[in-house]
This record gives sequence, C-alpha cells and structure tokens, in this order.
Amino acid sequence: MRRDLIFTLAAMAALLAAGLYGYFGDEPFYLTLAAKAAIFGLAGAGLNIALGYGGLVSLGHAAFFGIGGYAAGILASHARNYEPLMTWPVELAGTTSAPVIWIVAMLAAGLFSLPMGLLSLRTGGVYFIMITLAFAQMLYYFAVSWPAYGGEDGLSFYVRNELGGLQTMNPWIWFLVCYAILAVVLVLIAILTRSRFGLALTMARENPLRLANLGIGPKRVLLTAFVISAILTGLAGALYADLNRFVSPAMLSWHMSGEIMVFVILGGVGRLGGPVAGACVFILLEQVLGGFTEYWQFLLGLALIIIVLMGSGGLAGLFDRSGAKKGAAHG
Amino acid sequence: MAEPLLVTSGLSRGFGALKACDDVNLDIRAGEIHALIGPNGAGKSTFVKLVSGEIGPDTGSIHLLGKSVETLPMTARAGLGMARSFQVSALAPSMSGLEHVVLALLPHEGGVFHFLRPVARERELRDRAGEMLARVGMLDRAEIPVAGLSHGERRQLEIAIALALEPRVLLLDEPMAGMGPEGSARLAALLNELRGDMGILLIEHDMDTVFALADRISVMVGGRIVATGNADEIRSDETVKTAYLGETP
Repeated sequence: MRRDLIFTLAAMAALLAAGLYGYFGDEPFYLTLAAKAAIFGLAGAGLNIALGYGGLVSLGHAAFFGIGGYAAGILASHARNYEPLMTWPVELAGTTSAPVIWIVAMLAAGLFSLPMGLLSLRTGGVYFIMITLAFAQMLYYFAVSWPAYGGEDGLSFYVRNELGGLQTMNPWIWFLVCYAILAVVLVLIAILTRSRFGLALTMARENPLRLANLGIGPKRVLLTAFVISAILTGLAGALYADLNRFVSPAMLSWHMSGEIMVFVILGGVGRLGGPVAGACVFILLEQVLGGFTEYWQFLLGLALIIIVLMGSGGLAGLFDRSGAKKGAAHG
Repeated sequence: MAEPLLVTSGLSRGFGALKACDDVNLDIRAGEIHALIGPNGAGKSTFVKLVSGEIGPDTGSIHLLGKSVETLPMTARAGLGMARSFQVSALAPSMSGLEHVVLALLPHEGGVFHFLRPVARERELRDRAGEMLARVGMLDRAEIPVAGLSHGERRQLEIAIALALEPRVLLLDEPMAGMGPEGSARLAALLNELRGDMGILLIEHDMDTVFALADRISVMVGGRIVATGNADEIRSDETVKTAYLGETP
C-alpha cells in the first residue's frame, strides 16, 4: 500500500517535472507531450479499474476514449457553426464549455459501457476480450462510414473549449488542467479501492464464487467497475480531442485499445500510478526511439516483452523489487 | 417436532454416466449437527454443491426454511441464511483475514455499493469481524494477507467467514482437513457451541470427531444414502459395516 503511494507520487512528480521543463525552457512541444502523457495516463487509469482491479481484460476501451473524443468534437462543432444539435423533441444547442463537454463525454461513455458490459460479462476469458473488441470495432466502422462528422477524415475544431476564463490554448495552462484532472481522478481511485466496493471488487477478481457465496453478485460488482472504468476513459478522450483540436476514427480503433492496455501493463497492472508511469515511458520511448528509427514500435515491443518476462508488475513491480533489495542490504 | 431447516427430496445429479448424487433424501433440523460420511467419490461434495447452488440438480427438490430453492442462484440462497465452507479454501490471496470477514458482514450491513468511506474506518464492522476471528482463534493473524497464512489457518478463516453470515444452515465440507490436532480440537469445541444456534451439515473423514459431535449421521455410498441414524445405530448397521467401515460380517 505504502510503496504503491510512493510509486504513484514518483510518477506524478516525473510528469510534473516534464511540464515544468517545458514551461521554463520555453518548449511548448514538451508541454504538449506532457499533457498527452497526462491524458493517456488518465485513459489508462480508467482501464486499470477494469483490467487491474476487476481482472476484466477489455480490448474495447478505445470505444470509450473515442466516444469521449467525439462528444467533445460534436458539441464544439455544433456550437461553432451555430447549428443546433437536434431540434426535436427539444432543441439542443452545442456548447464550447469544457465542463459541460466533460460531463456529456462521461455520460455517453458510461451509457455505452452498460450494454457492452452486460453482454461481455456473460462470457469470460478470451471471449470477453473478443466481445469488447467487437463492440469497439463496431463503433470504429460506424464513425468511418458516418459522413456527418467528417467520416474517415475526422473532425477539426481549431480552438480548445472554454474553461472559466482560462487560456486553454496556452500549452502550460492546458497541461495544468489535464494534470489536475489526472491527480483528482487518482485520489478518487485510491479512495474507491479502500472502500467497501473496493473490497468486493478484489474478491470478484480473485474469487467470484466465494463472493456469490457471501450473497453478493459478482457480476453486478464487475459491471459497476466496468462502467466507472469507461467513464474515466471517456473523460480522457474528451481531453485528448481538445488537446489535438481534432477527433478521428483512429481514436476508436483497436490500435488505441491496445495502446491504452500497453500503458497499464508497462506501468503495472492494478497499481494506482502504473498507467501514469506507463504512459510517460511510452511517450518517452516514442520520442527518443522514434528519433532514431521509424520502426521504434519494434523496440517498444521488445521493451514490453522484457518487462513482462521480468515478472508481472511492470515498472511498479521493478520499483518494488529495487526497494526490497535496498531494504535487505540495509537490514 | 418443528419443520427441519433444510430438506432435500429425491435430489439427483449425474455427470455423464456417473450418478454422483442419486435420489438423496436428507434433512437438517434446527440445533443439530448432521454428519455426512462416506468413502472418497461417494458424492458428498457434489451434494454440498447442489445444496449451496454451485451446480443445479437433474431432478429433486431442496427446501430451505420451507421455501423451494433448487432454482434460486447461490446469492439468493446465501441471503436466505445458508452458508458454506469450501473443501478447498476459496479465499482472495491479497486480502487479509479481517477483510474477508468484514466483506462477509456487508450484505447485512447496507451492502457493498459504497464507494467513498474507507473500510479501515468502519470501526464497528471491524470489531465484529474481530470477534468472529477470535472465536476461531485467528485474531492475532487477522491483518495478514491470506497468501501468508498456513493451510490450517485458511481453514479456520473459512469458518470465521461462515459465522459472519449468521447462517441458519451451515454446510461444512471437510472443515478440519489439514488443520492439525490443536485446530481440530478447537473447531470441534466451537461446533459444539454453535449447535444450538443453527443446523450444521458436517462432512468429515475423521470418525472419532464424527461420532463425538454428530447428533445424526448419514452414510453415502455411490451417490446414495445407505443409512441414517445416531452414532450407535450407524456403528451397528450391517450395510454400513460392509460398504464403508470396511468390516466384513
């Protein structure tokens, strides 16, 4: 528990340091990268609730990431074109207010995750992976073929959405917004895992039969976790759309699901700060290795294999073991 | 005499050609320990799985407190007052014993859908869980994750969890297996004490324990109940002697 906290604080400190370097070194590019890492960390933190705490291997979280992104893009584009979102039965206008967009993104992702979770949870193991993948791909092909919002080309919206009086187009401000949201979400997850629900979720992962035997339905517990997980990944999607001022079906594709899963596995499955560390290292590798070769993902794959073979637990696991060794040397 | 807490009639379940449970009629009365004995593979564990709802019967009925429950899921049967210990400990390795017992208390204490208050601050629940652990002699090991507990300690924890459910009917599938003499003796004393509060089905291999504890004993061979009676009746029953106690007349 304590090592988990230290690791999380270390990952968050590293991310903040990257942001500060970008700000004081006057390198907006680094600030954008740091904001991207915060957003990917948030998407991973969402997936981690299903994958890490609930043991649900979802290969469909791009669906929620993309839904969040499209929620932001669609609402903003309607507001900017002064076209109502719908006129019947009630007239609804678009909006460029970021908090409203975040709430809509989270609601949309949560609503979509309900039937997806209900159906997927009827299965287990590899079938669960396949059904979640199928749901996400369904949305992907829908987005590609739906012309209203750009279809395959995606949807651009030029200016970031509004948050109070903040200069959201300022990379430093935008990084801080993303960083603050990530920090709040991590605190909420820490609270969740220590609650009654967290206890039930642990049992649902490690021994669902026993949980049922105690009179608690494991599926209800897992479905709740899946929906919470989707809501957080949806929020990350909305932030990501605003970061790029662009959404496209790529946010919904299975590559994206795989990447979110890589953040979690690289950083440490079921570890609070794991996805943040994973996202930071992922982006670092992308930048550093990507500078040497365009085949950097080959090297990323290699790094992933090594980390997984060195024992599950990812970077957080390595951190634990290095600490344990030091402790042994002192003792 | 009062209606028994649990009654099975004509309960059968086959796996392919094998009849694991064949027309089993058994009842558990309030305040008794009813032991179920029989050689390995007799179908005792299948019977517990049928009664607890882990698997469904092919035919037959199960009445719990007068209600027909054979089609109800496990969670509903647990809600009606049935608890079970598993033959192979079914625990979460990363959770402590105390957390297990707290979790078992939750369905009666407002449920598990509370997301914000840390369990560590639920003083009253933790105290009650501590009492349960003390009854099985596990209080000093309460905070250790299950992965670090011995086999016998896990068995003791199984009992504490079952107690936390405040069951009317308690199904114990070989609770003493792997416990060691001291643990077994303590558990036997505890079961003796619990007898007044609930009906207990005890599956156990150790005959001395069974004959000392049980009010009634049923003998299962090849999926069928071949005899039911008190200790003296079972000891002197000819069918039991040949089929199970291994004595030739």
